[in-house]
Amino acid sequence: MQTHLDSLIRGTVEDLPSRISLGELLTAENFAKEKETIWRRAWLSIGHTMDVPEPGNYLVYDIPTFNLSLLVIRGKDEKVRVFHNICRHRGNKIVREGDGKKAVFTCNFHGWSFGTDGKLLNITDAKEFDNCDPDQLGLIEVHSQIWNSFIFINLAEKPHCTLEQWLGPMFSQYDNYFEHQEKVASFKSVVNGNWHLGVNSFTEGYHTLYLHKSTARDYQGGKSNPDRHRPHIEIFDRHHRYSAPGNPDKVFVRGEKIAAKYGRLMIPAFDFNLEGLPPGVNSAKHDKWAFDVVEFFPNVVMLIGNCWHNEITFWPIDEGKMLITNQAYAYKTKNLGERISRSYFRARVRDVFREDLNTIEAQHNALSSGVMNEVILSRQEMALRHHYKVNRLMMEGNL
Amino acid sequence: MKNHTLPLAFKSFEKWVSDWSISHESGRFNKRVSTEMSDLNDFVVALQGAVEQMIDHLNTMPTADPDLLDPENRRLFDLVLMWMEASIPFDLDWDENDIEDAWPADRLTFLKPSYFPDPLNRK
Repeated sequence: MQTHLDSLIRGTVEDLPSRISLGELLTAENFAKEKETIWRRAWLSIGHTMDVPEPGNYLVYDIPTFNLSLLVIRGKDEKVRVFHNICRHRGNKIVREGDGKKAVFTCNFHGWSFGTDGKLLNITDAKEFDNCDPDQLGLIEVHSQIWNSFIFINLAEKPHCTLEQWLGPMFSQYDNYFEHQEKVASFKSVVNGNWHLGVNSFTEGYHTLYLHKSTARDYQGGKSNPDRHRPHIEIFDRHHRYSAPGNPDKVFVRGEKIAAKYGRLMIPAFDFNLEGLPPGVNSAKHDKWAFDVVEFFPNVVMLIGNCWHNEITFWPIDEGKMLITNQAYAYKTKNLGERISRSYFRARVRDVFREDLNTIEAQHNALSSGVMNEVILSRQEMALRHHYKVNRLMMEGNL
Repeated sequence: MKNHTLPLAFKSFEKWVSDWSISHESGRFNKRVSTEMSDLNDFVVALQGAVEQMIDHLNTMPTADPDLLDPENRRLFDLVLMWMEASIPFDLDWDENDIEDAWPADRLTFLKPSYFPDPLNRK
């Protein structure tokens, strides 16, 4: 029996660094550069069009990296637009927080109001203002593009590339996948660690044998792949993805058996059903495939299964603090048994996620101490190697 | 006026409703990690023989949306979800109600749909 799996690696990897001077990346000076060269230039995902399903639906999305508040609105014309959540009169925050539905957005400071398309509808006591052209005073729109229900924004004055160029080959590989799922769970945490460490915690499978031994002890690998090598790793210009190997020998525990009886298997259990998946999901068509991990550099890591996906979004606050949001999506249920099954698997993976999260602050403290500057990365940590290459190229202005 | 909190077929489990029928993920998770293992075990053992019957019953409801259930069936639905959550430490052979080396429960902020106002205003 085969007891070792060599990963199939696609893309340019020869120049990926295996040693990273991470300590140098954790400084305030470095983060100030990253903000302008990476975060202000990148296309960044802020959610899904399904979060604003009907005309007038809105949500407030705060971005701590730039101390920005955005207002995402689906207009009467069905178009989803993203605006700065700022009244054009005196700069007040128009909608404080949350989501809802409105036909008109009225600032509670002096009553200026705006339409769902961002146009200024009314200036109260307008005759008292000089040289005030309402056509020039609509909400300030943020560059945004929709991709397979994702809302991407770009905070540059003028984006240096289109979203299609930004996503590269992946742009056309996920059609009709995300739209069939709905949000089933969500939580956030502020973590005292650098954003790189947050992203890195979720983009390699080497740790799963050890870190997740209590929560998901036999979900990957199995007898034919005991080291849980990734079957397939793909490196693109800016982004990457790899597949995780399911374990055909997995022993189902009691809760998993019940959940499996009433609904579809979700992480940390897999049914190896590959039907109907778009070309970007399990792109190597590995038969014991569990899920993919995709990093949309810099702010989103996705775990993508055959009927579920998880989106982990990272927003740096400063060089040593970030906001992490985890949103789980899954198949739409036909009955309550499926709802219960779905909730069970969701609860299981929440604990797995908490283990990943708990490594970040310890790493940050250690690497900031100056005792150890350099980290060593294996081939199974190829995604991290690529992450730091992309980071370097963007900071140099070469990507 | 009804004098039962669960569908009649599951009346014998009513004593668990007030403390264990919790309507959102946040509450169920916090219940698990704040309850002694012996108390968790009592709950898990008490319901384990009936859980599949409960789900079979819920599957006869004409909806997949728990917010559309009548109060008795909604409580039953939430009770089953709590049982699924409470069963995890025992199924995975933990000694405690939570894993040792994990992100603290009180540093997670649950958002919709993991946390939302209780539709039955029970808590």
